[in-house]
Order: sequence, then structure tokens, then C-alpha cells
Amino acid sequence: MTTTSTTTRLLTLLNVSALKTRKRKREDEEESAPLPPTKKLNAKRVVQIEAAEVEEDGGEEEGDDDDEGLMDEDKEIQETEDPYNAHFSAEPKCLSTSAKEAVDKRRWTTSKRSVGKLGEAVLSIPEGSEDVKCNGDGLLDKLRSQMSTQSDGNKGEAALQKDLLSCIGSYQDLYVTKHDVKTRSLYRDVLSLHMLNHIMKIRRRVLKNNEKLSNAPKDAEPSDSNAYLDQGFVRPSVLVLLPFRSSAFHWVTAFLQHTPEHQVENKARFRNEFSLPPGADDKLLSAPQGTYPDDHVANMAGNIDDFFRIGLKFTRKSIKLFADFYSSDIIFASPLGLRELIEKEKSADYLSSIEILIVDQLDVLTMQNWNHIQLVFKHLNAMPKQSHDTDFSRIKPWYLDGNAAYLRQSILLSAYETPDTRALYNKNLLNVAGKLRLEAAWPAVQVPAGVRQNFVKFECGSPQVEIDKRFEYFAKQLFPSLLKSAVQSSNTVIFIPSYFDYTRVRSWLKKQDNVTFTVLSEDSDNRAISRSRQAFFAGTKAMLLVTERFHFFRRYKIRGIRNVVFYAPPDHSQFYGEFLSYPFLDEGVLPEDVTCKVLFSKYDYMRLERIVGSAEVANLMNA
Amino acid sequence: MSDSSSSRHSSPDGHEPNPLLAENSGEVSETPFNTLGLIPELLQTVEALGYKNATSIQAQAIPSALQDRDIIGVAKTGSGKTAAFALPILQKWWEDPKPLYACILAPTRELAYQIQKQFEALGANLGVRCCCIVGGLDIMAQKVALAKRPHIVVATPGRLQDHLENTKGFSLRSLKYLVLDEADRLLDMDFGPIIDKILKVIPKERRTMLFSATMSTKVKRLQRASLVNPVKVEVSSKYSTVSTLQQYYVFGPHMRKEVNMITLVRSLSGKSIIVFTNTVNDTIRLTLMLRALNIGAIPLHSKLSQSTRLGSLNKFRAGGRQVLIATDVAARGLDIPQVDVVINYGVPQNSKDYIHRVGRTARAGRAGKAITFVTQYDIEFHLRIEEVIGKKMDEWVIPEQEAAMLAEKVEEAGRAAAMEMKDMNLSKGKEGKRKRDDMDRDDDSVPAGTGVGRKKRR
Repeated sequence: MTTTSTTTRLLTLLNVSALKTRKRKREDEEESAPLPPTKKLNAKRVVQIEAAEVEEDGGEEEGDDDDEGLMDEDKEIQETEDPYNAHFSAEPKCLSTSAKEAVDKRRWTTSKRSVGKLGEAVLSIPEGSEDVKCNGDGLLDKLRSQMSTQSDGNKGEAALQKDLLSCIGSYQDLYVTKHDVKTRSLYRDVLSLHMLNHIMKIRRRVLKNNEKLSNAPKDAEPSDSNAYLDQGFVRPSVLVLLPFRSSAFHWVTAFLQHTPEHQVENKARFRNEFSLPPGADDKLLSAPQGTYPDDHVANMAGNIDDFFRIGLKFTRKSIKLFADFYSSDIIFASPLGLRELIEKEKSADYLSSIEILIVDQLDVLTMQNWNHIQLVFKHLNAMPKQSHDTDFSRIKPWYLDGNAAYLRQSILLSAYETPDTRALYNKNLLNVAGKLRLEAAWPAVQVPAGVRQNFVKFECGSPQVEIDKRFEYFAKQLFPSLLKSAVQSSNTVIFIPSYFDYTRVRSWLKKQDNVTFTVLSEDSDNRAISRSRQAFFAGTKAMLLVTERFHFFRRYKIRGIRNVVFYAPPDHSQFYGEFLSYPFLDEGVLPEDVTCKVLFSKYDYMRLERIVGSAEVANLMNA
Repeated sequence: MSDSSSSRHSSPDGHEPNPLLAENSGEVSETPFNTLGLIPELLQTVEALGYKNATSIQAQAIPSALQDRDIIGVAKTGSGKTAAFALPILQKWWEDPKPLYACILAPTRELAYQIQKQFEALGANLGVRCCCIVGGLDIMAQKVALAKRPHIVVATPGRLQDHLENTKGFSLRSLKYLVLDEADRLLDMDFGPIIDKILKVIPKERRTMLFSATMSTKVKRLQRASLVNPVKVEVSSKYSTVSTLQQYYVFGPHMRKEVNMITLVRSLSGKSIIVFTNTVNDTIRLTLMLRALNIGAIPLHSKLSQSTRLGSLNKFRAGGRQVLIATDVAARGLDIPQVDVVINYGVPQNSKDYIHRVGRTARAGRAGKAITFVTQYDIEFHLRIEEVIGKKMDEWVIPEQEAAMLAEKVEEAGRAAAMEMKDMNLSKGKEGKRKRDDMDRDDDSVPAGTGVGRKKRR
């Protein structure tokens, strides 16, 4: 009696939440089931697969893996020349005390160089060290064939990929300062190949050593114990920081393209969680091209949730998505996603052994919360708080000495530079192999012909007082001059990049009784937005405050503008052009009717450079 | 035990250890270090540290250790025991410098720390890497330290066992030397099982050395350490105190103990003093009272965290504070030079403890005083101690007038201390009350039917 009743109850429960429970159950099984028997499976698998691969490749590449007696010597030589072994061996040459000291004191020797298709670059090497000799890209033969098949379409693209690969193959840091939307997928391809190459080298070594150790008699004294130093504190060795789920979707997809033979676990769940639900219409993608700016489509299409993290575990036969962090090889995450986990667990041991860090869309991350990035960087390569089942006899010595940060390769990709991103590059990239910053020249932004642009410079002595001085200049000089003019005192947009400046100006404006204004900021909801736009267009409100983030995330075309005031130059140079073109959305507007004022100081150099062009910016600064 | 274990060792250079000399151990023997067969690198360090002649234990132990013999050494702390095993180990290691070469076990954390420092000092020229694995400190940091594969590991048994079990990839399979310092305590009931476990996972092919200040007669215990054909080196009789130590007692009623105590400490101002109490509670109370009376005092007991304990000790060592108030955690093994006076605020309930306590002063041939407070309740213990050391102590008279003058102030300080302890939730705490400091473990024996047991039951 009792049993039947419980069964019925259970069945009812199942029916009620059939979808959910089933889903959760399956995940749990997937996550927990393969964990316990891993060791056994590994040992067996190694043998099986190596045998299989010998068959496949005719014994050419994998053959020398198996044949230890004869080929060992040749292999040793090869291995020392390999950039991975040179950089991440148990005792890397570049990790000298003097190099570390130079990095700590930020004494870098800089030199200019041209990196093929990547353009001009500034190379910084720790003082007293030498530039790493680049021995090719260190790509595994198996992957090399993939590389050629990938990019046979376009010659220019192939050349770019090749240059990029040999550039990052040296394990130097790379900072791309003008990452074009068009080349994004190219970079992703090459960088995922680099990641894959890196992980495969690590895994091969570890598996081979596992095998050797399990074959060795138990009580044998470890003869040359250095040979088994092949790992960090924890397994994850690659971290990819990304702003949105959609970015993670692109990256994982790009990565999986390089591993066509691997079986992928949890692929369906991944598609569910990281793209838009089926049937959902992405108006950014479905709209005819040109409706929305390219960069907006590239950044904002797809699932733009910024709270996620996902581990990818790579084995010889399969790839598992949503793997537990400590058994993953790659972590894809948003800074927010990591932050939440760090705060919950009070530790971030899974970040202790990151050897390659990739930050894509750094510019978009600046539009999110910069504190999260800084928090993540603080935990990168820190000493772990717990051991997580690490085999301590196999940890590379420089991990134990806390030198992992000096070897980590960081690759930053940003559409443009801000002082924050530059500071990150200067302060947090400690790679003793050196770092490379691409230098990009900026053309002037295209603006509608005939519009008078007025650049107003205010003097200020230090970056600390810049905010106050700017506000002072705005409140005492620029704003009164707007009010004096009958034309400029209405239909005026005040564009304010920083949210803090925005709140200050807004509360100040509220106290002024001679002006009506409305606002568009990142915390306006849809109703408030349409009300504001309506009021501004109709002229019932004379002025409109717009923040940069609002425009970045929404990209509304705002109508009814005649006068544009930039409280500071925008980070996105295209916004400048866009705001100057908006007045012409309304009919009958002549270029003479439109005025534009840009308030700037010498600390706006980077922003201004992108607006007026690299050629002009110095003149403007000195004027 | 083989027969050679009990036979006295005669050193190869023909120096016959004189039984009389052995009696007052700690004194420097006539043997210069350079006759012991040490390599020049070590001799240099020894010389640089200012030692010329080896102490008796060193003179006897080093040559046989260099001949790869197992050793049982009985010598007081302060007699240069540590160097007696450190030097031969370092020399053997130098011939075959492998990681995880030797492991030294000590019963207390402080002692382990001290041994590690000594190894580092003696091995400074050789570049030996030494790590200290004790409880109370960060496990992860220790795992990292062990993963760096140090040459010498100095450890307390519990934490070492923890690492052997839980630190993946750490083993002592390549170990060549095992040393048990204060071996009688390491082999007793508290540490015994842990030591047994450790012995199971280290190679049988190794050299073993046992050292202790007081060697228990229960030879059975020693068999656990599985020594092979050991040489016994003994430089002191079982229970004895150094001849340069003057021993006194203060007799007075329990009520007046605090007043007497403070009067005494004041009259000894300028000297460095260790006061031993029987309970943590007394330690705290006395510290607070002395501080209230403007006498710099620091406490040392097992309720303090390990880092605080090390800090306290260093402060006292450096001379920052003149009075160290401690439970028996500080009784053994600690080498604090220049302790002038040891005061037993509570009479130790075990005569062995008494010997360890007063062993903190009059070290290495210096003079020192030990003063024990005896109340009407303690006479029995006191007599037993006198019997064991074979000496009648002189009475130390506290001038009554002086004590009377202080009485009021002391009472006030006592009240202040009580208040403060109440704030710290210690005075009335169920656990903290009148309990003997268990010092992370219990001492080898609590005499049956005495002190502690009865008090607890009451």
C-alpha cells in the first residue's frame, strides 16, 4: 500500500516538472559518472589510442612516441627547440632572477618592429634579457594540416593567420589595440588552434608520464625526478575572458572546428544555454545589412547574457563541455561569472595554473564592470589555498616558487585602447619572454560635410583633478555659453561618456531653473527611453543627456538633434560620427544648422586620436 | 636489543668517555671538532659559529654516526644534542646530496622549529634545504614546501603523518636518516601509534637515531623504532640536574602565593625569568597581573596559535620581555640562552617535568637559579622531587615587609586581571578552568591518584 502511494506521488511529481527534473538528472549523471573511474580508463586508453593512431598515421608522427629506444635522442633535441618546451619546461631559461627583477621594477627595453600582416608593433623585453628566438610556431604536425585547410580561401587571410600564429607561438604576450570586427573570426581560429596545440602538448606529456610511472615498479626510487615535472597546481591551463555568452559561443565553436574527430559531450546543452532560444528572432541579424552599425551587430547579436562560465575538458577521444573546473583544460568565462564564483568560494584555485590567458573584446569589457577584470587578474596565478588532489611530486618548480605569472602568456584583443586597458597591459602582463603591443594608426572619423566641429580644450595639471576641472569648465563656461545662444539652448544633446560624470551633471542641471532636460542612461528602462526620446524630439525638453554605455548597448537613432555637446570625447570614435549624422535624419536640416562642441583635456589623447586621426591629434593637443 | 646497545661506546680516536665527565654533561669536552672526522666544509661552519671543542655527546655520537651506526643518545638538552646528529647527517648528505634525505621528528613545534634553524645554520655552507612541518601552520604552504623536495624535513609526527596521507606525491621512500629527538616522548602512548604508522612507510634500509634528555627504562618502546645494532651514547645519569644550578624553594601558604610571587619577580628585576605554571589559566592570570604592575611579561601556552607562540618566544629571546610565563609547552627542548631564573609557580606533579623545567637555565656551564613555590598542598610533590634529584633544596626567604607593602597593589592587579579574563571568556569557561595544559598532547604519565585526576573529579 505504502509503496504504491509513494510511486504514484513520485510519478505525479515527475509529470509536473517532467522537463526540468529530467534535464537536471541527466546533467548530474554526466557530471558525476565519468569521474571516479578516470584513472583506470586513462591507463587503458593511452595504449589503445596510441595503437590506433599508429595505424592511422602510418606510424610517422605517433610512431616516435611509442618507440622510445631509438628515437629518444632525436626527440630530445626536437623538444628543447620547441617553443612550448623552451617556455614552460621545468626550468625555463628566460625565467632568470634578473629578468624577474626587471619585470618587477618595470624596466623594459622597448623596440619597434614590424610583424608582417599584423602591422607595426612595440616589443618590450625585460631589461637585460634577450628576445626569444622564434623557432617556428611550434604547431603539432597533426594540427598543421588543419591550419592549411582552414584558410585556403583568401591569400591575405592566410598570411595574416600565419603571421599571427608565429607571433603567439613564441609565447610572448600580445596586445592587439585595433581589433577589427572583420578579422575577429580569423583571430579566433588561430588563437583556438594555439590553445589546442598548447593543451595537446601538456596532455601528451602528462599521459606519457602517467604511463611511465604506472609501469615503473612501485618501490623503485625515482631516478631522474625532473623528468616527471609536467604540471601545475591544477588542470585548467587556458582562460578565455569574454563579455557575452554569444562570444563564448563563437569561441567554443571555433575551438571545436579544430577537433572534428572528437566526440563532444553536452553539445546540445551548450547550444541551448549559449545561443538564443530556437525560434527567437534576432533583429540585429535579420535586419538588412546597414540598418545597424557593423560593430553593434558583431557585439550584440545572439545571447548577450554577461554572467556565465564554462569548463572544457579535453581528452584524446572526446571533449566535454560543462566539465568541473578542476578537471577542465580551458575555462571560458565572463569576468562577472568568475567574480561571483570567487566570492562564493572565497578562493580561485582554478586560476592558479593558467598558462595562456586570452581576453577578447576588451573594449566591450570596459563597457561592463572593470572591477571584475581587476579582481580576476588579482587571482590569476596566485598560490592555491587547497591542493585539489594535485600530485605534488609533479608540479613544475616555478609554480612552487610562485613564478607562474612571469611565464603566463596573455593575449589581449581590443577594438581600441583606453587608459584602463593600457594600464592592464603595463602592470599586469609580467611575461619574462616579453610583450608585443600592436600600434595602429587611426584615420579621422567621417562626419557629414559642412558641420562645424568645435574642439574646446581646458587646462588641467593632473589626472586626479581632471574630473573636477572638466565639470567646472562645463558649468562655468561651456554651459552658460550654450544658454546665451538662442539656437544652441534647445535641441541639444549632451553626450557624457562616464556614468559618474553623468550623475554629477544631471544633479547639477536639476538645480538650474532656466533649462528643461531629459536623460538616456544605461539604467533607463524601455518606457523611460521612449518617453525621453519623444519629449526631446517634440521639443518639450530642450536638452538630452546621453551616456556612452546607453548608446553602446542600445544604439538608438535619436532624432531632433541640432546641437551636439561632447562632455568628453567618446571612447567609441564611431559614436562621434553617428551623433553628428543624426541631425540629418530630420528633413530639411542644413549642415550650417548643426553645431558640435567637444570638451577635452590632454588626458583625452587616446580618444581624440581616434576621432580626429593619428595625424591631426598632436596639432590639436598643442593648439 | 642486541648486547652492543647497552655497552658504552668508545670512540675511534681512543678517547674513552669518562663516566664522571658524563655525569655533569653539557660541559664542553676536551675533544676538538677536527678530530671527529668531519669534512672541512662542516668544520668551517662550526668554527664560524664559534665552537672549538665538541660537547661530550657530540664527541661520542659523531664518530659512530659517521660509521653508519644506529645511535641511542641520552643527554640533557643544551648539551649540543642537535649538532650531534645534524653534523653527521649533513656530512653523509654531502656525499650523496639527494632530496628528502633525512627526517627529524620532535614532540613539540617549537623544538622542531629550533632544530630546523640549527640545521640551516650548520648547513649554510653546503646549501642544504630544510623545511619545518609542524601543526598549526598553513597546510598548503607546507605542501608546496615539500613539493620543492627539501633535503631535510624537521617535523612533528602528527602533521607529518597528515602529509604522508594527504599530500599526493609526497613520500619518504628515499629517506636515509630518521632521527627521533626527545625520543622517550615520541615513543610514548600519545605519539606512539603515529610513529608506528610513519615507520611503516619509510624504508627499512635507513639509519635511525634516538635522542632524549631522559631515557625511559622501558626498552620495549625503543624496539618500535627498529634500530639495528645501535650504539648507546650516554652522558648523563637518568635524573640529574646540573651542578651549576642553585635550587631553592619558597614556602608559604597558598593564599599568599601571588603576593610572594610578585615580590620575588620584582626583586629579581633585570634578570631574564621563566615562570612555569601548571595551568593555562594561571599563565594568563599571572601575565595580566604582571602587566598591570608594569612588568613586561609574555604568555606561552597551548591555547595560543602557533604563530603567536613563535612570536612570544622570539620576543623573549630577543630580550624584549624579561618574564616568560609558560605552561609545560616550554619545558622541554627549548634552547633559550641566558635564562637566569626558572620559577616554578606550581610544583610540577611529575619529577621528570621538574628536571625539564629547571633545565631551561644553567645551560652550557652557566650558572642559574631555580625557585619553586611550595604551599601546604604541595609538600608531598616537593619531597618527591627532592628525593629524585637527591638533593635538599635551600629555602628562599621572601622579606615579609616587602611583601606586605605590595599586597594591596597585587590584590588590585588580581582583580583587574580577573575582570579582563572574564572579558576574554576564560576565567569561568568550563574547559579552561583549572585544567592542566595538555600541550597538544599529554605528557607521558600523570602519576596515578595525584593532582589532576582528583581535581577533575571534584
